[in-house]
Amino acid sequence: MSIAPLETQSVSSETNPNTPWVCIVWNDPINLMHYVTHVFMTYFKYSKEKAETLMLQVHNDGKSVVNTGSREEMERDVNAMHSYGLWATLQKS
Amino acid sequence: MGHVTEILMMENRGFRKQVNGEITFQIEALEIALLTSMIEQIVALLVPLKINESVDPLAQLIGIDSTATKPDDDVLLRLLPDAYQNDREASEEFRRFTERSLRELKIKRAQFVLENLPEPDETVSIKPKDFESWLTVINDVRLALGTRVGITDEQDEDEITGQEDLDHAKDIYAWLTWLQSNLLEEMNS
Repeated sequence: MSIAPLETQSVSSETNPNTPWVCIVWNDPINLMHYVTHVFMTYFKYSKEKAETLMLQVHNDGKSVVNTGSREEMERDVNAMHSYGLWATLQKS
Repeated sequence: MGHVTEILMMENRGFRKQVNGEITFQIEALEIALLTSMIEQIVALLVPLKINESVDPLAQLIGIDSTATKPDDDVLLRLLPDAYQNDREASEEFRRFTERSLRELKIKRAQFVLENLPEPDETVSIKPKDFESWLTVINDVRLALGTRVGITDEQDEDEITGQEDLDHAKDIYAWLTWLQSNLLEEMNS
């Protein structure tokens, strides 16, 4: 294998590169509320207020869109959320 | 999400942020043994199964694993979830590009915490630069144990089942929750 596949990290070729993608964090019964807030503040550099609002959305509504951007950016965010143990996915907005 | 009423039940272990920013607290020998064992189990679970010479070393170096597939094991799937909700193909592709590095990162943090667990009767001391490692490793252990004992909603963790092994596991889970909460509180103090 060459390193070339790195350039094709995004699979769907039919995707318009300008279409925004979203990173969604899903509620789960294990992650603690203040841990989730902490992750949003640490990784996204969100204010405490914004991080808590998003955390409460996850808690009350089952999920929350925590960031928007290109597919590559959202893949990076999802990967980071997984490294913190949060349950995150990405999709087209 | 999980909750932390257990805090009230636990004794004071002197959680404190020192002047130099380090967080210190007391931990018992049994708890050190417990943490060691649980973190080692996570490492064993995360060590990629398919290490063989046919894997392109360069691909491996940059974190690509052409053999990565969705884990069958619930705990492993919780630690390494799908990145796409309803797109199996995209999820698998994502795994091939990211899963190896994610496993390696989690293993690295776990080994770091293992190496920095104190001897019995010594105080735990965590430098600010190491806060995230401790927090995420304890979180991974909670995810693993919580998934194994089937914590599915916030009532589950308090429920006494009468099954000795399960109730014991839930006690440990409550202890980990308490530990993580205290760390978070001191980190943000």
